[in-house]
Amino acid sequence: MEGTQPISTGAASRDALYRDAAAKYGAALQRLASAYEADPEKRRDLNQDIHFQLWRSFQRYDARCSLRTWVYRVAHHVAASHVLRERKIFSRLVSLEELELLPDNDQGQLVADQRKNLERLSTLIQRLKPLDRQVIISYLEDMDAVSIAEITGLSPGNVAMRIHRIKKILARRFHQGGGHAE
Amino acid sequence: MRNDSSRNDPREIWQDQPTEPSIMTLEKIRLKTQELRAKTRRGLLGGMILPLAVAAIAGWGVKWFDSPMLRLVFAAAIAWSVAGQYFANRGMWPEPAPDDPAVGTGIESYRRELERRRYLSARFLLWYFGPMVLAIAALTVPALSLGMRRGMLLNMIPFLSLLFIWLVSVFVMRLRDRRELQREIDELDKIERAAR
Repeated sequence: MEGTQPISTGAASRDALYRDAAAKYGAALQRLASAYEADPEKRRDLNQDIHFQLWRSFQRYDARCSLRTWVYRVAHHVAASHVLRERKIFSRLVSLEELELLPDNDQGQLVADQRKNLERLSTLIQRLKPLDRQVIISYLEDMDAVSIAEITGLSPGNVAMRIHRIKKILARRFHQGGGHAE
Repeated sequence: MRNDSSRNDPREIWQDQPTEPSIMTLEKIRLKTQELRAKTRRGLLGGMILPLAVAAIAGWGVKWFDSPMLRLVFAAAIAWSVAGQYFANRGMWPEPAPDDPAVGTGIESYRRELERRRYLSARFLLWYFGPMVLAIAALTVPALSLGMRRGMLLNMIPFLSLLFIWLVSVFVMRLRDRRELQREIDELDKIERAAR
């Protein structure tokens, strides 16, 4: 979007774009909110905020990037602002590099309970700094390095390096080879 | 029934998590727009309480004390407070300007947000905290001299100590926040440089 003037779309078009986006990505946005906020009540508020800002943002949507990229950019921005607003102290959040070095008590355990696995995964994501969170969430949503680069603004090479780290961390913690992720 | 391998595939675990049906309708969104405007207006008005209190106390100081030096300090606190309101809120009236949703990449919008927070933190220290400290200091000096004259200085020490600790804590916490924000911005710079 750099260097371009946003195009103001009409109210009807904005509503239609929002409806389309909410129908296609509503569930993914809920998952995204859960990666940024552990408290269920605050998570619901965050999800509402994401939807609201998404609706507002469509006034300036000029279709220069895909709808999915736009939706994720706005959602990540709202969620990262939420992390800052909630004064989650950065020093308690870690980067992927640091997370890779941290020990995991459950390392290598096969856990049959899907809910517990999800809790472990969410806890792991919520420890990450916002930019790395964007990468891991996009990766978990099955996006490729190019799409993630488009959303985050990182170079595809940098994203690939981060994905490599993510795969190693997840493989170690979930006893899973990560072949599916290739 | 999933096998063990898929149960431990993080992408499947992530995507299979239960979600609620969408709760946002366009009608709710429009209501939220009105709420946001009202909230922004309330925020702007709420932000004026502290500077107004400082100005009122300093105004009382100007009227009450005879010392020209003290009057000058109180007047400076009033001027600082009023100027702060002008600089902190210019452009916000008559129409409140709610946060603009980001349309840049993640790294750009994250940087913007960090810079905005850093700016807000600096603004608080300069335009809100500064006049307040000046007014408190101007009130403390005559209170101390009165306490000395009446032999009540020891009784005042606990209150003054608590006040001092509170002021220093607010200042230190704000500075720490700013340092953390700056560190995060520096990290983003490094990431961007490495990506070039």
